[in-house]
Amino acid sequence: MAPVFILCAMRSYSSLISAMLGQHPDLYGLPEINLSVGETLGDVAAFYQRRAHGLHGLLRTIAQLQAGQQTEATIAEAKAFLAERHGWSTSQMLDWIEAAVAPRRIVDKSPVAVRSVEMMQRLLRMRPDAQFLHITRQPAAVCRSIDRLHAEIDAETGSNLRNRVDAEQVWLKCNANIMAFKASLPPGQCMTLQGEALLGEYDIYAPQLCDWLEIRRDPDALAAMLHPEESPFATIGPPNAMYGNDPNFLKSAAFHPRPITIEDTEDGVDGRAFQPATRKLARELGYA
Amino acid sequence: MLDPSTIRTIGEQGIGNTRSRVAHACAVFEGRLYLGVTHPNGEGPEDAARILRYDFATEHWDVVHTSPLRPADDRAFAADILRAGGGRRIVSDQGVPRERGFRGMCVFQGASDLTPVLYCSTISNWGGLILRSDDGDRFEVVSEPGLVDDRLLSFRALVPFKGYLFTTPIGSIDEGKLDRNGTSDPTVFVSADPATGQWDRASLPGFGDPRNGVVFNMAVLGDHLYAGTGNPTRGFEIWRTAAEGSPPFTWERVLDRGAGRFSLNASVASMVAFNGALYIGTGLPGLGRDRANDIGPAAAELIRLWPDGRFELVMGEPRFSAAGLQVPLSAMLPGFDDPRNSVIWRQAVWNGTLYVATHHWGIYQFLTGAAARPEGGFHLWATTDGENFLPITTDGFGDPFAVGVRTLVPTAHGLVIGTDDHGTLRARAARMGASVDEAERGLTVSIGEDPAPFGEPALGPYG
Repeated sequence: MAPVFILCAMRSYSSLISAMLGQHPDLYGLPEINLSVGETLGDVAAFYQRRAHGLHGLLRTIAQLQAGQQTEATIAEAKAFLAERHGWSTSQMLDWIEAAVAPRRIVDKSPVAVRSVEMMQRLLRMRPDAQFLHITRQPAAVCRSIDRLHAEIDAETGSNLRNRVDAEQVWLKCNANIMAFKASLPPGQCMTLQGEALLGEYDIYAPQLCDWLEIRRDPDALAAMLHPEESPFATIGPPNAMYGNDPNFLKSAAFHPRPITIEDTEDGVDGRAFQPATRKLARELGYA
Repeated sequence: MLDPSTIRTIGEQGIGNTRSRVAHACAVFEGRLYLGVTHPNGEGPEDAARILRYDFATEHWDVVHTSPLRPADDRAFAADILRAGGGRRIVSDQGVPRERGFRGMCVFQGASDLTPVLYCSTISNWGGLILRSDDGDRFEVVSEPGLVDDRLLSFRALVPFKGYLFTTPIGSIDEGKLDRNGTSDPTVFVSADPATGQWDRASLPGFGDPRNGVVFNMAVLGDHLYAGTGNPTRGFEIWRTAAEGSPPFTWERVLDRGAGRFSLNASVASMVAFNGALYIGTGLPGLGRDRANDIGPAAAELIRLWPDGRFELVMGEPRFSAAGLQVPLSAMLPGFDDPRNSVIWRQAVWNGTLYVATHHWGIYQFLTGAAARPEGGFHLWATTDGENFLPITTDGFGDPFAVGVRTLVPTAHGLVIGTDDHGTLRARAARMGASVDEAERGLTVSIGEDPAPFGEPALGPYG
């Protein structure tokens, strides 16, 4: 069963949308399992050696699928599971997850994948028949959200992310990478959707999404997707794997449908103009 | 449907002047074909634009109008912003043509016209003019330069509707710069009696939005006149009016944001009514990349719009949209599956078939070293149901320098096809080792027949 990979820059509604899709009766939403960072599970473990939270999503997934629950004990078992399988290819890991959730198709939204075209190509090699959903969000909103998140992290950890990371560059690079990857695919394998459109006009866009994914679009299925909070991964996890998703989403995963006003990218962000490349891509994505 | 084997050339080598490169404006008047030809450069007497007349019975062309010359003042030297380097032009000191081309042509009977007469719009650095002829032999100027502003270079579509003649400015000349595709006044103009030179504003500039930088094209569907804009920021918009009451008329927007492709569908290049829907061809200038507005690259799409406001993607990029999931009905991607088809330049309906013609920039791949040999030439596709297309040609009838179709005119004698020829590139291609005739050729006009019995030809808008 072809997986659905959600591609987007950080802070672009991917947690919410992935969890919503994952509540569809034909789909199974995962936390961030980050398998695109390497060829083997050993590679993945090494990639996150200094950032253990990067494995939280995979550990929670294994615990949930292996033991039916996420506790400190089942997370410990999941860690052991991973440690014994460092030689597994990431594709084998995906095989295992898919077998456990079959016949539902998995929905994965690991934002790390869009850091480079190569990582997205790795996902494609793992599953050549995968469908890729490119979710976008207006760049000024993304910049503010990234800055806000980094300010929170700085306050907690004493780091200096707020000043070190150029949020506009994050938006531009990630979306440009996705567009380059999309251009390499057959038509229709990757589709772009404004997050604001799906969340603000759910009744218009959710059925289209179902049609594209060739899954049910009956009222029950559409209603199920309105409850992302019912995902087993939509809360803070056990102390040894608390995250695997946007912390703010984990604190409050409910979806409240509301119209979303889209700012004009030509106005810049908080009095500062965007660079020409950002404006060009934003116009092409409908944010002008 | 047009049978490609019947297509024959009725005019070539620029029809008497190889510098005549663009078969730009065309109409059938009193049974004969009138063709306004354009010289993109307009550098001297040799570039005086002409109106040519073709007699289908005698198969003979004659010249019925030649642009007068005028002194080369500052406006003659205006730099074309689309030209590489943007330098000022070199013009002849023997004088330059007042008009170096014609953009629109139609048959219309205004309030003071005793019979239907021929109207056409000129391309002129001193303000585009409206010419009128009641006999096809004499052409008189019946407008002020630029109608209301002599900085307006030309007027694209000339569309009769409900007893009025509508037109829109295309191109501007200001402060030494010439912009072929933009305009300083993106307004629809209307006249009930163009012979008097009286024109009124039929719309607000840009329909009230400065992002609508130009009104590119117009067409009639049912009880409405539709106008398509160029909007490089958000994508084209379609507006329509029933033209009731006095101008300016009330307009309503029926499609926006480039039909969900946003800025990559910046402009409406052609529109025609077919089987109850409006077929909208999009495009970007140059080699599919609008450098002035930093858009693209992208190939053109074909969209159809129904009177109730629904739109469908006929040919183009699959996408989600406010009107539902759009998968191209023709199963063809942008540019008829060829990314070098950057504009749907002309559409026409003839004998129950829709014909769609493109601008194709493939020849430039050879000239820039990106292709091993010269190849390209415009595409011409045909469909009887608006969804399944058959190619009439995908190589400019074998001429890669024939980059586009600028004239597509249904007549009782066949479908007339006039080209935009980039034959000035032949010498350059030859220098690069291509086996081509170096001689400049100029535009070509062809005609093809449909083996099926003729119906009443349906004239589309030209501009």
